[in-house]
Amino acid sequence: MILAGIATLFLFQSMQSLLQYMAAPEVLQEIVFWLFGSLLKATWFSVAVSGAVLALGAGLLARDAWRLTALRLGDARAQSLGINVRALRLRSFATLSLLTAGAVAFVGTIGFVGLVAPHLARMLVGEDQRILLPMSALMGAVVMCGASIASKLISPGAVVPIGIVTALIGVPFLFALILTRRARHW
Amino acid sequence: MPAPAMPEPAMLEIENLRVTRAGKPILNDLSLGLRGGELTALLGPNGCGKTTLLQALAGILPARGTLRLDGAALPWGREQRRLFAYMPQDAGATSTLSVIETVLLGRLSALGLRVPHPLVDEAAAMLDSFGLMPLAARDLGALSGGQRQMVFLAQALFARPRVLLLDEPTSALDLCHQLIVLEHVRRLARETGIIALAALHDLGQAARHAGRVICLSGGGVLIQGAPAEVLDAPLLRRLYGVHAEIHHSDSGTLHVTPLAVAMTEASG
Repeated sequence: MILAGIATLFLFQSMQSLLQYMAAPEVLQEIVFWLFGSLLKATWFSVAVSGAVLALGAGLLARDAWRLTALRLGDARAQSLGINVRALRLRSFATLSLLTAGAVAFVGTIGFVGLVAPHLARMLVGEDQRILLPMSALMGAVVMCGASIASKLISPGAVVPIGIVTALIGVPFLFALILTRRARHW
Repeated sequence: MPAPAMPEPAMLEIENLRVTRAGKPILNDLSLGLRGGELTALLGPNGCGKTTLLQALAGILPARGTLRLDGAALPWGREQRRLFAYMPQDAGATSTLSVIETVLLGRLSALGLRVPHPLVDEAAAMLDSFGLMPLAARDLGALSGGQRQMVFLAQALFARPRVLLLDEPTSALDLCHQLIVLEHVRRLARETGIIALAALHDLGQAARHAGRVICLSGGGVLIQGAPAEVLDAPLLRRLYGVHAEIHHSDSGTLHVTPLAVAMTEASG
C-alpha cells in the first residue's frame, strides 16, 4: 500500500508540474504560492466552508469510532468481532480524503501536521477513538497555531511560509518517533 | 444442595458446506453435527481446512450450505454471526487498549458515544469469573500470552454466543496456561451448554480435554467420535502421515506418541 501511495504521489506531482508548465505567469504565481502553504489568505468564507467539511467528516467518522478502535487489535480480531474490515477501510479513506481536501483547498500543502498531531494525541489520551479522533483534530490545530506563531517570529518583519516551519519541526519529530518506538507500532 | 439445572446443550447441524478460495474448493459438501456441553476438537494436518471451517462458520469467509441451530434453520447473515464467536490464533498485541475495553468490544453493537453502566458492570463480572479483575485497567500489550488469550476468550464470550470457535487457542501458550484455557472452555461449555469447537494440534491435549474429535481431510470429515474410539495408529498414519504409538495409561488417559514420518505411497 505504501508503494501505491508513492506511485500516486508521483502521478499527482507530475500533473502539478504540467499545470505549472502550461500556466500563465499570474496563475503560475498563485500555484507556487499554494504549494508553499499559507494561512495568510484566510477569509471567513474559507473558514466557514472548511468548518462545514470538518463537521461532515467528523460526523461520518464518529459512527465508526468503536470499529476503528477495534481495528487496533489487528484485522483478524476485528473481523472476528463482526467488522467488515475492507469496507471500513474504504469508508474511512473516502472520509479522510474529503477532510484533507477541505483543508488543503484553502491553505495549500502544509505537510507533517497529519503525522505529528495524532501521535501526540495518542500519547496523551490513549486509543479510544471516541476521544482520540477529536483530540487529534485539536492537536492538529495546536500544532498549526504553534507553527504559525513560529513562522512570524523566526525572522522579524517577514513571515516564513508555514509549510517550511512544519517540515522543520515535523521531520526531526518523525525520526525521533521511529527511533524510539522501533518495533512497536511500525 | 441440589445442583443447578444444566441448560440444554446447543445442537448445530451443518449441511453441504462449500468454501472456495481463489477458485479452489477447500471444503467440499462438508456435513457435520456439533453438540454443546463439551469441548469438540477439530483435528487434521496443516492446510486441511480447519481454519477455513472455523472462519466460514464465523461468517468471515463466504460459504454456501445450510445451518440448523437447535433445530431451526439459521440463514447466513448478521444474526448468524452474532451467535457464533470466533477466536483467531494469538498473534501478539501491541495495543494500549485496556483489558476491560477489550472485553467490552465483544458487544460492539451495544457501544455508542456513551457506554452504558450496566454493560461495564457485566464486563467486570465476566472478567471476575476469569479471575482477571486485577488486570482490568492494564494495557493489553503489557499482558503475557496466556493472560491475553484469557482476555480474548472473555471478549468472545461477552458477545453471548451459542457457538464458540477457537483456532488453535493453546499454540502460543506455556503448559500451565494451556491447561487453564482448555479447562475454562470445558467448564463454560458444561455450565452454559454452548458448542465449543477448537482446532488443536496437540493430539494428547485433544484426547484429554475433548469429548469428541472431528478429523478433517480432503475437504471433508474423515471420521468423528470419542477420542478413545477414533484415535488409533492407522488413523494417524492416514491423517498425518505419521507412525505413532497410542496407549492408555493406568489412570485412563490417552497418550499419543509420534515416532516417525510414514513414507506415503500416494499423495494426500
